[in-house]
Amino acid sequence: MNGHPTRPEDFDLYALGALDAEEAQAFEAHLAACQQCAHKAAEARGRMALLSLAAPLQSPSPAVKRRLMRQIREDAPSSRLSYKARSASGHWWAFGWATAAAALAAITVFLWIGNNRMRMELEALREATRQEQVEIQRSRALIALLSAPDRVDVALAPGAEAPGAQHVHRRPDGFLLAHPAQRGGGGIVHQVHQAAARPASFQPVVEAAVQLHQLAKMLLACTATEMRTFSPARAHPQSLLQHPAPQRLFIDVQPVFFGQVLGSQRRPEPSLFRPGILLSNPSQHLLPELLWLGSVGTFPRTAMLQSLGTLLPISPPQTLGLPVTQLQYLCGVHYLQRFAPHPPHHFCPLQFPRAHPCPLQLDLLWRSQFRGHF
Amino acid sequence: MAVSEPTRAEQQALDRELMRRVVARDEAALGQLYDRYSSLVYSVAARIVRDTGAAEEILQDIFHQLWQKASQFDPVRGSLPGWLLVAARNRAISRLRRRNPGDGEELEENTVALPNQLESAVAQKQMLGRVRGVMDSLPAPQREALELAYFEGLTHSEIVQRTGEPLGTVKTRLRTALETLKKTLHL
Repeated sequence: MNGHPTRPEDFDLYALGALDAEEAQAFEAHLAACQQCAHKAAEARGRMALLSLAAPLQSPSPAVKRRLMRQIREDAPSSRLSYKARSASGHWWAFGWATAAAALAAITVFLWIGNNRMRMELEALREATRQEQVEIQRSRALIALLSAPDRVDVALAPGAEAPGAQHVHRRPDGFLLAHPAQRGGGGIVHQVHQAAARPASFQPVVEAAVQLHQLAKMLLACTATEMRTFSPARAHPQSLLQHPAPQRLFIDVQPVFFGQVLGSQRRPEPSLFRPGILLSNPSQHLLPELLWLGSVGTFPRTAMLQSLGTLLPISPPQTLGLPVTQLQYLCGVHYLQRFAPHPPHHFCPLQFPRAHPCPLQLDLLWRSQFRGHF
Repeated sequence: MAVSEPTRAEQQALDRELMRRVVARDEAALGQLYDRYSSLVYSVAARIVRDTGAAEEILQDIFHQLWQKASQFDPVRGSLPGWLLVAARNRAISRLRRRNPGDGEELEENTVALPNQLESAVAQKQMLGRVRGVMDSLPAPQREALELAYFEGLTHSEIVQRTGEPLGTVKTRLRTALETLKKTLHL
């Protein structure tokens, strides 16, 4: 721009922000050098500000003022004093006010500390009570487990079940699954598994065993018409195969769980086998994301998890719940000890009973061993 | 006896007193200033952003900034309602164009001296009526050009792009509209 702006509206256009970038820069350069035009530009800004009044008058929500006042209080609570309090600082009675305020503050602090202590004590009492209740529940569960029969046999009503079908009892966090493990001689041996949708749904060993047993009873209550107890001697697989009664269903409650595989990029195969390790998903059609992890042998738990990592593309293998693998591992050890003279050639839930109908003994052995720990 | 409306000098003195108390961290004083000017600020912001929630945020931000930087405000250089109106417009346009409003520079840079009184509710209403009257009297193309420039922050070239009118036409319309405004309002 050469010289002063030629028309009075030039200042208004500048103040309005209507000048394009190049014009505005030239204008500002002139204003910086010309006090007279700078003064005119300031007047123009005042005039243009009045254009705001062309907007229809509206009132904001009262909530805005409340938010504003809350915001400024939160800014610097320690440095904020009311105006009146500051104005009063020069008066002779300011000292009296300060003393009273200090006394009040001391009382408040004292009461607060006392109140806090009482609250903590109350909290501790509540926690102790809760712990006692947990212990009582645990003890009751243990008694229920130890006093439970080792085996239950159930006779279904005729026609209640087609051979080979799976029984499913759904629960909010998973399901109880009974699949036929053995058939022949008019009897069918079922293995019962507890499955949970999340690793967190699995219970520690004692609670899980009790829950499994109770769920099994629920399942029996739903489907059974007759219940009786076999003695361990009569529970030999051969006796089951030769059982004369037709349409017999033998439910063998095992501490076998499904572990959830997280991060798997592909569906697990129905059955994968590696010496000492079993991976299978007999309930694939129900919950495909669940995988059954089993171990047979004296594999350390860490080795078992490492082997698991080589079988399926999961990472990390620790995503499997710890209680589950502990329980599985316990079963595996007992199984091997029991059948060491005749180790199975392979281990698969669908073929397992045909090769070695051992779930009965496995269950009994586990439970007796479990009792030994207590 | 009828109570006369406080003069502009008295209203400005009241603003100065309230600002002094705000500097002394008196929350009640900020509340009074909010009551005096919040409708003006909110109306400008709402007209520009056309969104109630956004306009309320702008309103809260501006008064929060006033609380934080009240000591920087120089009443000799300009009036408080002038600063509030310019700050509201700048912040709203920045939001409309998704620009950073540049928090912190507004108190000094946006201080303006209004040629008319806006320090009381009565004065605000009177001035609102006059400005609206002038705007309504403008031919529609001039009014549109002026509103695009003021409420959307568009430059000449941007108005050309928006309206499809020639650059010379847009400039003439804006100049004529501003001239009418100045004459009618005796600015």
